[in-house]
Amino acid sequence: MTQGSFILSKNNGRIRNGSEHIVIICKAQICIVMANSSTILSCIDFRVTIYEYHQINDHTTLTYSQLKEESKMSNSNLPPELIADILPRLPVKSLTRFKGVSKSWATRISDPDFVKTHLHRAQFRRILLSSANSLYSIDHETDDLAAAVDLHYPRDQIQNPKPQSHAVQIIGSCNGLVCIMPQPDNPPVHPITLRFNRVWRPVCCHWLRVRLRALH
Amino acid sequence: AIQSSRFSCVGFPLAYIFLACKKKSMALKLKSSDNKIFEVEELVAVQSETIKSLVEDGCANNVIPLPNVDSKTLELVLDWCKNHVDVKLDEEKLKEYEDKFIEVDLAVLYDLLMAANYLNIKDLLNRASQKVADMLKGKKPEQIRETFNIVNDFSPEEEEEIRKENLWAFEE
Repeated sequence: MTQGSFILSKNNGRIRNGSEHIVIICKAQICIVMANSSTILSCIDFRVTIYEYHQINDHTTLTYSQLKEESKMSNSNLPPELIADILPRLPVKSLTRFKGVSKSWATRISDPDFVKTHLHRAQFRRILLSSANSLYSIDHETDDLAAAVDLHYPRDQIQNPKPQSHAVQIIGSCNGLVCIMPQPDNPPVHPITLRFNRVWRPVCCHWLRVRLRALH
Repeated sequence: AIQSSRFSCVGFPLAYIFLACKKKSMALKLKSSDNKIFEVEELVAVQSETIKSLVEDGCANNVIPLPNVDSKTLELVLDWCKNHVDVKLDEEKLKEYEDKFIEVDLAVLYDLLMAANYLNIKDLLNRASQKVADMLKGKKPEQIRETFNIVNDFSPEEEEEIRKENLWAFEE
């Protein structure tokens, strides 16, 4: 954190003293401060806190503190091969979110080869549990049940047409894909059903429709 | 019998010289992009595959120019190499060292990544990449763009569409 104070004068040229607020430009940061008080109306960089404000005649002394600015990756971009090495190390949730970064990131993250690379890197094998309306993923190496992760699958989409149906059944899993089936309230009389099941593919975020013949 | 004894006569001093050279790790001179010369032991420097192949090709007799690495970064990289000459020494201490070493801000990390990539130092590249991944993990797409200077080429509608499709990933 850096601290400092600067004296502003109306004639400084760096500030515009309006009747209601002052615009301060300092170190490429712009904040708009209410005249006669230390209230910041708006600030381009919210890491600046102004905690003292004196106005004597035309001069204003402003004491501020500034959190250390988080550094950026210089001005140059990382070469693609380095990004390709970094991305597979990220969890699925972050990757899914990063599909919104740019078109090229979205393409890269959705690419089947990338999905494969990501899968091979995954170090942990986990146990899936289904309970009423929820899916949990548990690390089998810990005894801590609190470490169970509630898997967010789009419930409303698979509970069609009966939104009140309760449990989900795990049909199986393969290569990080989990096949789940909503359990109807009243099981059908005939246990042999032919239905479409959906597979939730977190990395690609696609539903795959799989025709599955139920066993006796 | 005469021939073989002759061989051993010649062979002995040659082998001796060879061994002596091997044992006393030669010093290499590396020149950073800002023209600073670093004198390092060969054992330390050859952890960089790039330098190793130069040494093997006999191109390391003079100063080795490293035009892509500045002196600040090279100093860090060489420190890493010095501490990884004998990995088997103390695993716990080494881990402690690595954890401390990699605790740098993104700008330095960027330089380290680029240097490790250029010099081809696998373990450093691996550690730095993992660190970047850890730093990116919790970020929002807009923060990623800011970090890597990526231009958002989505229309607001497309962006909203992605957000909607992947709501679960955008939740805290």
